[in-house]
Amino acid sequence: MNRKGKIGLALLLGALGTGGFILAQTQSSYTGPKVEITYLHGFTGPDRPVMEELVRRFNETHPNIVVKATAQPWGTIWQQLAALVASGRSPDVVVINEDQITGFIARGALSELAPAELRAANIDKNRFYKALWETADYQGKSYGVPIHSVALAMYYNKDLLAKAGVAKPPKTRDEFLKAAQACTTDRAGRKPGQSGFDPKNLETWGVGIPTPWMGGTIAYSVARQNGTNLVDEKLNATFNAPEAVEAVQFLVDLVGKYHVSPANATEQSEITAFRQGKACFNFNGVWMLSQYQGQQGLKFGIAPFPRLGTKMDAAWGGSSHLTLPRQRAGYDPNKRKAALEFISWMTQPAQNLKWTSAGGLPTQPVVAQDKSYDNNPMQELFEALPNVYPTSGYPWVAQVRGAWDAAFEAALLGKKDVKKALDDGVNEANKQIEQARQSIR
Amino acid sequence: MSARTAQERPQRKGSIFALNESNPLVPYLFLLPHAIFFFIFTVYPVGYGIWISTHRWDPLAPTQPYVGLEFYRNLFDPSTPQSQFFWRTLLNTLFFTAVSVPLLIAVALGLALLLHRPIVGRAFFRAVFFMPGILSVAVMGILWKWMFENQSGLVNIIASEYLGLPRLPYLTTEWLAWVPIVVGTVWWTVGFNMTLYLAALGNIPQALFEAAELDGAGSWARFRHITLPLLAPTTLFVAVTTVLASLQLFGQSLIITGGGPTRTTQSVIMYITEEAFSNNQFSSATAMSFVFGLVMLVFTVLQFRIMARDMQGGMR
Amino acid sequence: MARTVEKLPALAREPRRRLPRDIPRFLLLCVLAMIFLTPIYWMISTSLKPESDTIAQPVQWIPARPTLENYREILASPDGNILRWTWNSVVMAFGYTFVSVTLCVLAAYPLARMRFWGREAWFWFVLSSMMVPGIVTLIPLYIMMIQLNWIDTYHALIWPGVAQAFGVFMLRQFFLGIPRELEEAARMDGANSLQVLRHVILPLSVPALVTLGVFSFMASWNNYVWPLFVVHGDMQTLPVGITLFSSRYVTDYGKLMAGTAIAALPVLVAYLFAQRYLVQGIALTGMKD
Repeated sequence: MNRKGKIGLALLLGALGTGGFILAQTQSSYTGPKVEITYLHGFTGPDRPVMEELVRRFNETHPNIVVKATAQPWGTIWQQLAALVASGRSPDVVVINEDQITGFIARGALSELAPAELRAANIDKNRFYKALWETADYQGKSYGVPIHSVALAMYYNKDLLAKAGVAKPPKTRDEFLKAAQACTTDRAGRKPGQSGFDPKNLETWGVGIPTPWMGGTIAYSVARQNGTNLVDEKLNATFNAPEAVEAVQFLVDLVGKYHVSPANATEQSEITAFRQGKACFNFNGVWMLSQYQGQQGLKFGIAPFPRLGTKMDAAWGGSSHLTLPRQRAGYDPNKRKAALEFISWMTQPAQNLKWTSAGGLPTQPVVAQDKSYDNNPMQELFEALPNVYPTSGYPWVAQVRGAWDAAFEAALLGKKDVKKALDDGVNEANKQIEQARQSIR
Repeated sequence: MSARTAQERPQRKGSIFALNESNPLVPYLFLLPHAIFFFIFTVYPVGYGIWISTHRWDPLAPTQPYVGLEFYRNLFDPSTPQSQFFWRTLLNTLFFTAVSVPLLIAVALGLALLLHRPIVGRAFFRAVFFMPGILSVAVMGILWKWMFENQSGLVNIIASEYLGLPRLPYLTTEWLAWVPIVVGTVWWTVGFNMTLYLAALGNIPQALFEAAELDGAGSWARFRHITLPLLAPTTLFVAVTTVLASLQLFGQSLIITGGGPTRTTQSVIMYITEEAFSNNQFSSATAMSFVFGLVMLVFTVLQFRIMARDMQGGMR
Repeated sequence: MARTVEKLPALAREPRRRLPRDIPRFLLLCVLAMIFLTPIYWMISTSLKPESDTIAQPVQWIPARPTLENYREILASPDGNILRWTWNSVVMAFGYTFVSVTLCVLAAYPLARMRFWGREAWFWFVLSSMMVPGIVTLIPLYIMMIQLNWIDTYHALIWPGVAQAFGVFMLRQFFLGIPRELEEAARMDGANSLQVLRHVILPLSVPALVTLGVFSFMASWNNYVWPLFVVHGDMQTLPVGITLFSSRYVTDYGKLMAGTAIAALPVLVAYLFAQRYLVQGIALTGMKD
């Protein structure tokens, strides 16, 4: 499924301007002869026209640089990139997402953005949210500049909450459980805990916990809130730690113990149920906003992912980074300088503000403070942006996420108990990691 | 197969490219274009595949070291994820084959019997039953995924709104997730087998049935003792081709269930492509495809034998 | 093998007296046909609804507020270049079919008609390649495409499968069945091998060529695994493009179904015209006695 592709806030396109910012640098850092650079990205769907507009503006303001942009589905970029780099035919600038970037860095597909280069191109890493910038760091070096950010959020149905007597969207585990229980009713009108309550035939419910990818994303967020990650400092899988077990157990209990979630939910079925006004809450990415806004008669709000864990605020985040792939020997240094200027310009606050009109979140605090967001429901999420944690930093995200999602699914569907499911998952992930290490230098 | 030689005819002179019979190179010139492509894209890839599967192939690595049979051994070492998933997805594929092939034969035969004798709208019905087969697997998969959606699928809507049955979460329940895949596949390909049966039924001399009817044989007896035996060669052909198609299950699972829940509907080809394109383990995936090829060999040999028999049985 | 479905036994001669007994059979066929057509109907019905109505309760069998908006949006999308994908599929299917049938004709002719050293061995060698399933060569071929720089080109879509074994086998069998005398006569008139093939053999082989052509075309048109990995973006074929494109509309059912309908309708229309050849071709290959 194409996650980032679903991002769509086209409705807000007109409402936002780029006012409020004076370009931080009016002068281009590239002064060499005219060069052409190629730019490969995966911003399709509603993102595409916005990206094309930005590229057009860059070309207008930079007479000595011509950027040729190509959009392709993300999956096909990952599939091709290694081969393109290996044969010396890589585009000059490529956008890579958080779950792929460390793998490409570790396999030697990307070139380091040296501090001196960044300085020369006016790219200041302190401008960005820290976790977001560090997503593209590996072994103390930087390899990419964030251009796009998304996060897991909570949508809530205002009508249903009012009917259930819940005054404001929940922020903690206790508040959430109370609200979710107040929302849940079976077909005969009984509440969870009442005699005869039939959890298999719910009329309305709190929130559906789906599988596999979205479920894994939610579970990862709660595990992070419990203070643990999927891997340790040696980058081996450790997601069977007690904190992770506690997180998964809580989500499993939402179905089996508290009965506030239907069994066997899928991401799609939960989206449909939320649109139909059957679910009080829906956990999904910011990209669902435009579809929910288009649903007639649905009154809803958006809020940061609540603290279902025990220690801290956290939520899954996704991001995209502008990178410079490794090039063949004898590569024109002017192209690299021009590419850095392109990256610098693209990630300036003014451009980032324009970019978020397509539905992404700001990549830097200064953008989040812009006045143009005042009537934008997405603004509700901004306070939580420093607590967004991407699944990144280790070269085997695909293997770890695959095992984690599968373990969570097995636990949620009751195939295994939580501890056993996570133990098995860690075991599987570490064997895959051991194999993947052989391709890492 | 008595190819007569060309010696009877008057000899003509010509270069080695002349296409007359005196040139002994003529047959080879005819074969050449096909042979070139055959070598490059069929023979060479098999050899290259053996090389890949015995080396650690990674496009980004400076060297592709030789690893011997490591990737094959992994498949037989129960502690590796590869052996765990390869055999599990192979079993899934065999399960799908075992369920769908009898259905695809029985339903096809049933439809053919219904349509064999003339009836109003016969051509229309035949066209309708065959039609899904021309759609691509993408269209078929998207349609049936949506028909069986847990919350908004038509199957669940009909069950709950009209029949008073509970909604079933097809896409997320083990075993039930096979229902959309099998139903979709039957809908999609049954018309092909039906057409083969219709042609075969048309070949049975009507006189046989009339004689049997005179002897007082009921319709079941006629079906059992005349139709079925006479259809046996067709059934064998249908069975083998359907088994081969079912073993190569890919698009239906990929699109309808994504292989879930918990890999229970993941086919072996899906897993091989995951290992190659998602885990970047091209060598391991190639080794798996060879092992899977060996499993399939049982059926491909059978298909080969049927065709060979067909050939030796004399063509008119 | 040289029989066709169309001259199957005397269907018209069926006695009229059976008519009443046919009524249950007719009704059964009607029910089955309805079941077969339901997904197609549902696709079209959904594609004509505004998005909010696609999940309406109770279910709307007939769109209450019909609209073409979904089609408009799908066709206007810069990513969903459905017309381009259709064109790619057409180029691939016709290119593949033409090249493949030509190669098979050329190879099958000497195998059926000439005597030369290595004939049997070569024939069995080619034929035995049918025992190698496609998945075995998928990854080596993919890597070859990278090395040849053929990713995202028509080359990758057309060439790799053209040297099929089935076509050689089928045409050889058919050529063997053509009376030699016709050929001899042409040779007496001074025709060379190529001319004999073109003016004598091929005109007599139209049913076999059509069958092979239709099969090659269908196989190529519906190929999913190979194009999924070797072509991307604007170079995608219709089946692959439509799935990747649709994955963006997972829950946007109106657009999802509009896109699916756009992918399905041209094929359905073509089917109405080509139905007879298709059915004939299938019957031909399956016919064994």
